[in-house]
Amino acid sequence: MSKIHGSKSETAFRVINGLFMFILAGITLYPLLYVVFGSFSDPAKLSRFRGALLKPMGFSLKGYEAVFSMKNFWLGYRNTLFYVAAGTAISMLLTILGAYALSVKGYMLKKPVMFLIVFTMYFSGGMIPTYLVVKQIGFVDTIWSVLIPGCISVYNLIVLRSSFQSIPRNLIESASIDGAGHIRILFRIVLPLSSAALATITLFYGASRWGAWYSAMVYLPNRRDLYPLQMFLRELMVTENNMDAVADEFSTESANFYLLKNVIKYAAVIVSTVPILCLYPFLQKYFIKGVLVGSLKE
Amino acid sequence: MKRNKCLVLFTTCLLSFCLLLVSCGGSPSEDSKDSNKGEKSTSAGSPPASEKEDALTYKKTGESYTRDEQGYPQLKGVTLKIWMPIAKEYVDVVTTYAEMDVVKKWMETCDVNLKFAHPPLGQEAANFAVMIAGDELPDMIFSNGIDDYYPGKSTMAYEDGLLFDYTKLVSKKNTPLFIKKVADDPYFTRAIKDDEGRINTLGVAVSGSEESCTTMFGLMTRKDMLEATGMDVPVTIDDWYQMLKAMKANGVEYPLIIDGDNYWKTRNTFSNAYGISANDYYIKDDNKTIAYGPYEDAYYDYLSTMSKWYAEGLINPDFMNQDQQQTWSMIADGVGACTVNHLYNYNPYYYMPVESKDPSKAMVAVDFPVLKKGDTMRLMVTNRNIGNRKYITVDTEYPLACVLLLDSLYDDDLEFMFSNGIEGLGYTMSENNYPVINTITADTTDEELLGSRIYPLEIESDSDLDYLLTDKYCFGAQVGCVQFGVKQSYEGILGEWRLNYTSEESETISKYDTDLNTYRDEMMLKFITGQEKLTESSFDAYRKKMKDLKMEELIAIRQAAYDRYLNR
Amino acid sequence: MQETTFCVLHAVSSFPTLTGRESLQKKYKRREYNIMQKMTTVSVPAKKSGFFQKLSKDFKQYKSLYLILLPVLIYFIIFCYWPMNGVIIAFKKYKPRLGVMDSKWVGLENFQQYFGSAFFKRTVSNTILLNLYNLIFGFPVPILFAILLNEVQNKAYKKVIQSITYLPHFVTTVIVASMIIQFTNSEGFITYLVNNLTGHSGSLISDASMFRRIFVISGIWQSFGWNSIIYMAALTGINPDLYEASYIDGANKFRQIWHITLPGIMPTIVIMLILACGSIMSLGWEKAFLLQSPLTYETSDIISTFVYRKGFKEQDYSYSTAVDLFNSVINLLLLTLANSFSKRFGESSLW
Repeated sequence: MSKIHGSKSETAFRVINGLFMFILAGITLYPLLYVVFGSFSDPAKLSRFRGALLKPMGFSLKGYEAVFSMKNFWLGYRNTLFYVAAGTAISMLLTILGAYALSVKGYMLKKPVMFLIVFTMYFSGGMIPTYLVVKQIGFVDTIWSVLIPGCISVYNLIVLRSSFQSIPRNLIESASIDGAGHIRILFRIVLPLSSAALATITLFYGASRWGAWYSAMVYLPNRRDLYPLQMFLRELMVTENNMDAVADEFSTESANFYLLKNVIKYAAVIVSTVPILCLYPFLQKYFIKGVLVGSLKE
Repeated sequence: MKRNKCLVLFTTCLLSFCLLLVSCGGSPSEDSKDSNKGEKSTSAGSPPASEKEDALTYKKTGESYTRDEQGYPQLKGVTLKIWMPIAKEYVDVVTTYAEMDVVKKWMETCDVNLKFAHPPLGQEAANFAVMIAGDELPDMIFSNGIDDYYPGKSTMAYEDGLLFDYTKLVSKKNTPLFIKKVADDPYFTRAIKDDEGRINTLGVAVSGSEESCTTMFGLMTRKDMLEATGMDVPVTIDDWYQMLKAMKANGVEYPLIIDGDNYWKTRNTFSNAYGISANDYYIKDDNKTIAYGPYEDAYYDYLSTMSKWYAEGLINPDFMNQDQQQTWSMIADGVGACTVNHLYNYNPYYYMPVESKDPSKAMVAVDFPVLKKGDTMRLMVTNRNIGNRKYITVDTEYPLACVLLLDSLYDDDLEFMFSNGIEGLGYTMSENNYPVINTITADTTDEELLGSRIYPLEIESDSDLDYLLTDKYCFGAQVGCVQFGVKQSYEGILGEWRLNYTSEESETISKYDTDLNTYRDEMMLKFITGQEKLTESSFDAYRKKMKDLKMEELIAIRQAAYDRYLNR
Repeated sequence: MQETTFCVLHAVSSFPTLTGRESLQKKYKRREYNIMQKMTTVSVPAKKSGFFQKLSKDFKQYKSLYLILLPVLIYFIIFCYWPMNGVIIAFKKYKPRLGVMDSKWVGLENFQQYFGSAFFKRTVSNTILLNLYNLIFGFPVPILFAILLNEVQNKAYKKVIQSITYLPHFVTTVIVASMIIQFTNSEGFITYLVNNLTGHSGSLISDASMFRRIFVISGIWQSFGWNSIIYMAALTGINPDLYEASYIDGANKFRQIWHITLPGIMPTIVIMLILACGSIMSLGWEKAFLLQSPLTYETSDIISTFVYRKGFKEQDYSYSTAVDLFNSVINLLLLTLANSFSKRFGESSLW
């Protein structure tokens, strides 16, 4: 990033760039705006509307009222917050250990282990065999079945490993000559210098834990009280279009409530997405700190 | 380099060795699954010293129960576990049906303890597979679980040793209500058993009766637009064509609105006139031969009509991607006039928000068109069938208790309770002395929700026409549609609920069905929208391709299954 | 030993790398380090002594390292390798009731069913093409965006833009798909624009020839912000002094980007590219399923949606496992190819 030096072409570039960014921001903001507008709309008016929403169709808070009074919603929120906090911690711990161990050079089993770990990205037993294993261990119907299976993402491990490998070797050498073991090197040298990568991986894990529902779906068959938020959201989105068979009965829901379901969907998406959106700005400061890495003198 | 290669090889071998050890040794929970696990005697009942004559017993498990004065079986407080999808309305209020009032009453009446296992909404298939693969089967599986999610349906489930064959337990003593209600109805006599002679329909829900089966789907049009054309209510396909053209001339952009929910197809709305099913297998005039609608010659005429209508702009062009809500909004805006839709959606999407506030936009029911005046229909899709099957698994320790419990579903009082709920909470009595269900709104209290009905446990859908047309669905149900459905014949409808397939047949079907359906859906849309020109030769090419995709084998399978059904 | 050193040099993948003068310096330092290592390593007798002896020595030398690696290994063994025997389902007629071991062995029948389907070629080519288009058009976008955003001076503006552009990633697929359909059907405003600017007529979403464009562009729109995060992080590692130095040397913006920024994040880009090559045969079903209709099956029916429709009525786990297995083998092959390719060019690699 060149700093204060200005020239005509530089300024022109900056102006065009800024404008371009503005347009991009507008285009990418729209989907969320659409959902926001939908969530504040009046249900009946929203059902009549076709096309691109440019504002709420008649202002109404009914959607949010309904969402805030849904018991399951708050149960799911509480569960998800726990899973994100505990799950990200577990994932980060294991990923850091694995990435560090695989970034060190020179020991025999490194390459084969690396290959075998990458291999698991492509081959897996499938839903039922994995379920049977988890069942044998005794995790089914407990929080551990959501926290542990799937806690290491090989993709994230690779990214973190790349970051560790870029730490200047001489720093590590001098520390090991001074007698530091691997643990101390990891925690005193490698981690502090990898803040950008760590922040990125934390964000990735946090966001993926936030949106996770598959583990809960398979491993918590009898514990609806442990469901994360996403499970309840997905249940909200289920449509009942395939009504063949016997039950082509009238539902007991009234018209208004039926229409309200659509507004509830939008409101629920907003309420459940806002927290995770706040995570990134919080982590952004770590992206600036990483600048220090390159400016170390050898 | 060589060393590295050795390393990789070594580690791979080591790990695969570990794998082998672990998977062969620790192969989890695939114990012997012998079909009557209930061989061991249970605590369900040590027969009392002085056995009454009317004690209900089952020697194999040593069960013994009695009935109380009203005839309800007293099941001695045994615990039965039931796998059953939970209905969307109750998901937020209860975690299990056992908390609802009607179920509590049921448990009280029959002195039984019920536990429910509910899959997450929308994920029933995965949950079901995982449950079957595990080793803790529930006692019973409700709501068609086996038919919907088990490969090969109930035939295979019996063969694989999953289900308990309770044929011997069905008797006048054990299951009087079931025999009276279902087994004695001639329409269902053959459907009670499967091809092997097993009774597998205990607890099944029965819809419709000879006098009044209904359909909750209907063809309707905006009254004002029909009147503007000055024509009578259309009867034949030609009448329809003229009416739609006249509506378009009057400024309605797309007179006929259909959508991606495909009721225009699955309900045989327009194909009925040509004597074929639009999408499915059906029984031909001779009441014996099975044919496939999209493979018949008459399909060509049907497609020509639809494509002609589309080409002239009489049908909305985006119908394949559209949903119900948009359909109704287009009609409310005057962009469209007619539609065929589920009356269930008509009420919240159109009647309440639009028609009740603006009577000029009222809809009026129209009969399905015929080809020539005076023709009759054979292919009305009605609710005359049985469904919502319930199964008993082999792992149950109390098979007799399950049988007795399922029979109790047919009791009039219990059935009334399941259909309507608790008085005051789930329903209120109308002036005509019919129960009117209390509508569920955002303001419905928890107490009211707990006291409301559980329609998946309903055993008989209403067939009292008076009641249907006046109290139960009196608001915005397009009475005309309901009345029309009642009058029509459904003799041509095949109905998968009647058929059983052998394992080879199931395999053949699973091999070729998806390909065939993909091609069928694709070509139908291409012909109708005009992307593929509909000519004699292109239709022949289409038929030839269907034949290559094993159409005739698949028809033969259905034919064989139907023949077996007739011979039961 | 010489060979090993050579391999080690090439196997390095760095998060930011140093360029120009620095790299020469680094190379000398590296040689120094390796000579040092040679001298400090325990001297091993020349003859080919037992492999296991070497292994045990290795364990002793790197004991704490293996201890660190142990929990990770245990995780993969228990949750990835132990269930892997389930892959056999692809070669059997799996019935959940009978279990993995007792289900009937059918050899390659499931694969034959997959290959023999009338729509095999179509679904595979649609999947591959969509992924290729995503790669060609979608891969560079987050990179360019990260670089351009990096040039923005105003920190606050930069933060805001960044926080906005990743928002679409979080909007659920169901809602995004219904929006896309609304915008591209006969009445949609995008259809209106496109039809007026080009000669096209009619709805876009029902036009099979338009499907790929809609799918790829909407995918880029939804994900470029989120995918750029990793490049943004990589950019922070580039030494700002390099820019100063190059400015003094008279380089303009474009040359700075070409000679400093791009090489600076090149290792990250290469790793991402290799991983992308490893998912050519995989494409999630949900979005395609929501956007497709039988009218567009020619271009929109991909492997996962076809298998989904098939599985909907039949719950055939053997079949879907066989399909997954076949796709995974192809994916892994491509990944390995991409990996060795990249090694040959002296770039970063996975192993």
